[in-house]
Amino acid sequence: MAEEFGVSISRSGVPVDKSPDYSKVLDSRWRTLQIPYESSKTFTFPASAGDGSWDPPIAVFNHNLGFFPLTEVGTSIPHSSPANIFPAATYVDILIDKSNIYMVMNRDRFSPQPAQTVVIKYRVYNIDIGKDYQEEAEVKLGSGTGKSDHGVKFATEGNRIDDGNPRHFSTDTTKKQLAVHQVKIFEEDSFQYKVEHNVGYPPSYMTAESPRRHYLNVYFMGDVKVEEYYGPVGYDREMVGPIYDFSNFSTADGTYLTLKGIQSTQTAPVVIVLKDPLGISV
Amino acid sequence: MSNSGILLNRNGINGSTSDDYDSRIPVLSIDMEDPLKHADVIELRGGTVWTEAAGVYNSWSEVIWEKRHGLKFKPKVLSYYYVIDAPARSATPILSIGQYYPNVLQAPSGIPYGSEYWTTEADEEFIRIRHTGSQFSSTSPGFNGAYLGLGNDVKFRFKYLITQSPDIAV
Repeated sequence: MAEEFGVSISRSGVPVDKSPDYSKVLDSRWRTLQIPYESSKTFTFPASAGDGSWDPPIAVFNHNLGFFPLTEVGTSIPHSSPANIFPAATYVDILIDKSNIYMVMNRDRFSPQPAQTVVIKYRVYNIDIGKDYQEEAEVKLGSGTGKSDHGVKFATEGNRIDDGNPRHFSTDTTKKQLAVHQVKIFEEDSFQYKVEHNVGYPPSYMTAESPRRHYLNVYFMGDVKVEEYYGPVGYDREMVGPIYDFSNFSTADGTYLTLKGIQSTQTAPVVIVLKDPLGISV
Repeated sequence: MSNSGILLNRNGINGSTSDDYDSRIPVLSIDMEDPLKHADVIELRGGTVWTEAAGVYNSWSEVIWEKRHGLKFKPKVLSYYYVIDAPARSATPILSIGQYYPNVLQAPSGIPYGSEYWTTEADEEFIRIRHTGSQFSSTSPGFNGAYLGLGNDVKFRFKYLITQSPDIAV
């Protein structure tokens, strides 16, 4: 690991230099799943005339992070995902660029539609899924379960340090902070995706949608490649999608994680490898 | 956000970047002290082995495992299923031994027979594993078989992480 300085906290009774990396409750050199923004909003899409035009996209939140952040969303009507090949008749696309989270309404554009209200909850993580990233593994397999009696707590503004509500702390090192070992972007759609992580154990992971130009049809007319934009005005730029759970399965060992069964005709995933083993409880 | 905390730059970098360690920003985390155990790996069998005669549509659902989490809200849960053992039948839903499945253990449909899956659920009190199955029915020749479910014939490992953050499903 490049950084020579920082804060590292292991479980009680385990010396820091002998602690497996997945067992530490905090290591300031690692990227963690920090949550700089989390909120809920309600928007109303106006009634449409059914003249074939697209609903204008809505800017849900200006995160202004300057990169494609890993983002989690929940919506009151279905939102699309790469696994959702046959989405509901009415759904929203959630798209994220380096500045904003956007919501695009997809409904029948050729018959009149009533106004529609959508509630969206979002959680933005401080993890850039627009470029590959990998830590050096420092795993030392073995001891390291149990609690941590030592460390620091920071209460959020207006809350007391003896407050028992876990949501009232920004940092509490009696809890284990989930850290990211690797971000791996796949660009081509495939029947399987193999990640060389070298973390030393089969790791837990999350998936999101890799950067691409949404609303872009790519096809061939003979030998000529045609790229045809078909979406709402201004949406021909590169964006990522939110975290999605789709029907996939994987094999994993200490070196490779291979995702299979991703039946998507639209895009390839970003795989976020966590410093957390699949097979043992830590 | 906290007003107080610790900020640490990356080596060789002056000024704030998104890579800084900043203790003022909340982090997705797991309570390791909790006596209710918010992270664990357990072994389970899949529940009732449902059966149904040919040509009948039916569906089933049952909770095969639940655990009180003690939080005052519905938490975000990360979970992974690992198939230890599954029957090698050709005319039922099929599961592959040695595979990990995030959040949903889905046995692909043994069309025309049915499908079966296990999902992780959470509410304000419990996390649960729900076992769901359905028998497809068809009268077309060659597409009308009796259903023999997987249920307890499947053995799997279940890893879960109950986070300190709420689920954001709407």
